[in-house]
Amino acid sequence: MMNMPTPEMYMKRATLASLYINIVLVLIKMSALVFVNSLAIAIDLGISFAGLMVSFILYYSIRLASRPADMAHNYGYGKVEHVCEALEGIVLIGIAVAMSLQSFVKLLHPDEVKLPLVGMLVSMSCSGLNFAGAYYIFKMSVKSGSPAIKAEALHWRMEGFISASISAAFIVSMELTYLSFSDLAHYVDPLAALVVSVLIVFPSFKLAKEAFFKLLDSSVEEESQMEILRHLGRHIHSYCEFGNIRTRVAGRKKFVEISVIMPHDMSLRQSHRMLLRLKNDLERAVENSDVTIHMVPCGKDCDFSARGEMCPYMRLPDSLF
Amino acid sequence: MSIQVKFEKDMAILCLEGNFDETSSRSVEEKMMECLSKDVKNIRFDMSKVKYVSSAGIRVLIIAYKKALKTGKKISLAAMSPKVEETIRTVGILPMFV
Repeated sequence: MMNMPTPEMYMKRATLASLYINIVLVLIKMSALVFVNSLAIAIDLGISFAGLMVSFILYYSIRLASRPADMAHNYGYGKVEHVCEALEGIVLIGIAVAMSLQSFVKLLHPDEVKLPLVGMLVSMSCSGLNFAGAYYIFKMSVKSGSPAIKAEALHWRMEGFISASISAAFIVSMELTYLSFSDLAHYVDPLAALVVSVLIVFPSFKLAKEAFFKLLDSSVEEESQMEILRHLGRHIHSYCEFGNIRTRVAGRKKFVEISVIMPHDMSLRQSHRMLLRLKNDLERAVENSDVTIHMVPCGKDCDFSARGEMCPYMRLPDSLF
Repeated sequence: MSIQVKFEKDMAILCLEGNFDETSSRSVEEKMMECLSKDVKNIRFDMSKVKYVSSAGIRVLIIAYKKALKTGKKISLAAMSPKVEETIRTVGILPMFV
């Protein structure tokens, strides 16, 4: 019988694809840079080089993230995925800032770009490779549910657009030279580099910011919050009250903690059975979750006790709905 | 979100306007607790001007239902927009408020 691929296998496939395609891209762009003295291609190479470094880190991070919890890290290693996301954002911002400064210098002292046709063809083929890689990695991110792989897919798509716009800039430059505006054509390359640098700052900043917030124990997404409440609603007649609902995300793993008040006179065994059912339902509903329910006994200070009525939750119907 | 409380005979009406989400849920919960402590039999949430209910809003509605059960009061939701009603129905808590 064939084994079903696990999320870890999808993640490994995505990181390996990212690693190998990045090596090819870096080699193509480095060779092109030897012939075409284009700042835009230099930026593109810088981005791919950063991508290659991140792919290496991602490959080892994913292996680390998949390790089970141990004595040193009781909640597992899931957060390393967010570290990777943040790192990717920071590296890209760094490249964008450095290249923007270089573009300003080049705008003041513009150079002629050699062999623009080669530059255009290289950028166009790199763009195609980037989009194909983005498509594959995104498919793997959906199958694995990994935020780091999703961030990698977004990065790849962004790189695809960058290479496409650089190849468009080469076309404009060649067109201007053909129309005898070669002086103007010299400005196209640094201008394209500047626009690309500015364009990558915004998504990179967003990526880094989101990763930092996830590192600060951000709550699970709205859809999972709704699932938690749907199940608390489904079991509403099985407990007295619920208190704090605390959730946090660590990579693909979601941690949910809920305090539930149970009837004062219900046995520990019954209460536990009841809450175990709720816990199992929640873990089935919220993918990759680890649910902890804190059982708190009712202090007999509720309105039912004040009126001398029997606690209605002692009757224990599973649910009304 | 703006929250107005009106009292009519034995009913407290909470008129909500805006998004019933993380930022507004705490104030709605406080107003709802105030209403529960008053001598009324019914509490109605007038949802006609609510544009969106998030999980934080749903949480307040479940708490309201639980508290009302204890105090022998009845909670109802009125004039929900189709979008809001769909959200509450999807979570499965609509039968608590009819």
